[in-house]
Amino acid sequence: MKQLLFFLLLLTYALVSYAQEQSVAYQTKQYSYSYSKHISIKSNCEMADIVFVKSTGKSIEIRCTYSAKHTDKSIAAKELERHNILVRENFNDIYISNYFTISSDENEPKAKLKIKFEISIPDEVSLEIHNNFGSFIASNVSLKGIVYQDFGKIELNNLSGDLKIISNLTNIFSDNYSGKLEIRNKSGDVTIKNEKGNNALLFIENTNAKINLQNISSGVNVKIHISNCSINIDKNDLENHAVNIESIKQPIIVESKYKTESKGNKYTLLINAEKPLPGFIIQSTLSTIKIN
Amino acid sequence: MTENNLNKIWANIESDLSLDFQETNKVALTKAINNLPVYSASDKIWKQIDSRIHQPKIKFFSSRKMSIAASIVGLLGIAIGFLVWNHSSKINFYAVKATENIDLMSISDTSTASFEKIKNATCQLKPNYCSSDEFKNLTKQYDELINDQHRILLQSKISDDENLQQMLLKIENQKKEIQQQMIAMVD
Repeated sequence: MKQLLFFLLLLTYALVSYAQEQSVAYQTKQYSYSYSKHISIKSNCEMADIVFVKSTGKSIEIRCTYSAKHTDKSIAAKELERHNILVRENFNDIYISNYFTISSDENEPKAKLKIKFEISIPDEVSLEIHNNFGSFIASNVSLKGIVYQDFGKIELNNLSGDLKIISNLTNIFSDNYSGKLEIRNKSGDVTIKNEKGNNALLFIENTNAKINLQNISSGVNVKIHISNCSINIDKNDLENHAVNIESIKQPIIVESKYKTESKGNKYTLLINAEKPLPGFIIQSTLSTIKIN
Repeated sequence: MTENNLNKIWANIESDLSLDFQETNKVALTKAINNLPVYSASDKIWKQIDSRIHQPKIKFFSSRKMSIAASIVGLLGIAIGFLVWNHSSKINFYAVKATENIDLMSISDTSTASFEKIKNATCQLKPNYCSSDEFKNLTKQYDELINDQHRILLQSKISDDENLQQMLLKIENQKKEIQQQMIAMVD
């Protein structure tokens, strides 16, 4: 009797496990282009994970992996057809785009879809990335240009270059960036760690977000414009900068050794103001500024 | 002539023919064979035959080998073609554990009715504030949040990216903050 019960339990578990499984059907496409200093990569993507990595070769390799997930394997395979992918080269431009086919008489696709472009580059490239949802991730490469990312996330690791990011509801994380980084975000949290470089620039414009800055080196000019945000700053990062922080409608939270001035609803903190150091300038409205 | 007579005649003919072969023809045939001319090949010809026999064959391709080789090449071609085609168009699969789908509509209060009420009340009680840049800016921000919310909900139909939930929650919080800012102005 016990054995029968055990067997039934095992059978139930197996059935439940099977029912909980989903099949992911996926395919890959690969493209290869010769590299030159003048090459520019442009994208117009939907929901794509765009990943830049350093290549060991001398060419630009693009590997596209796209998938469809459904409990029914055959439906997952069929739904792959919704992916439309275009990768082509035109003179010095490599153009990447994707979209999904959903006919007007359909309410929604049966499967959940996903697409990833992994781009290996041997050296610095210019960018013009447009991506809605999904993500933009770059590691150990040198990039210059502009990234428009609506929703989703951006991750930059060990990067050098000159990047401008224009985003909405996008969480941005950067670690070990060297060069010029300009972020114009809306309602997306921003974390910047280990920013470095001589005559480098970190510019952040943001609203309704949390901002964390850690280990910003003395060679980096910092300019921040925020409203309805909370920002955390490492006090050590202020020592080697000419600091000028202005906060409207919110006092600045800072150790007592620093003296803030207030005039009406405006609070000001000045450190090393007279010294010819790279600036650390913040202009904020209705934001909480914490210096720890 | 009767049948018996005919049979006798045929029997006589057969007997004569047999006797002729055995006696006359046999002797003549034996004589002829014995008198056949005899030819013998010269030593040079035998040497040539011998050297030809032991010479290695330098035939590169026999028609049989050619056909086998062609078949192998053909099969290889088909196999490589299949592999290339298969590699480019093969659908791969892997299994993942099903995650519970959260109804994103349930975490997003898409109705703008409450905001409209607050907005109208603010304008009735504080007409000056109602015409200020700050009020207009808050209203604009709220409209943009509603627009973003719709885009995320549409996206959730084809994507199960968990970031979508976080974005919707963030939008809901921001909408509430804007409402609270307006209420604070009226208070």
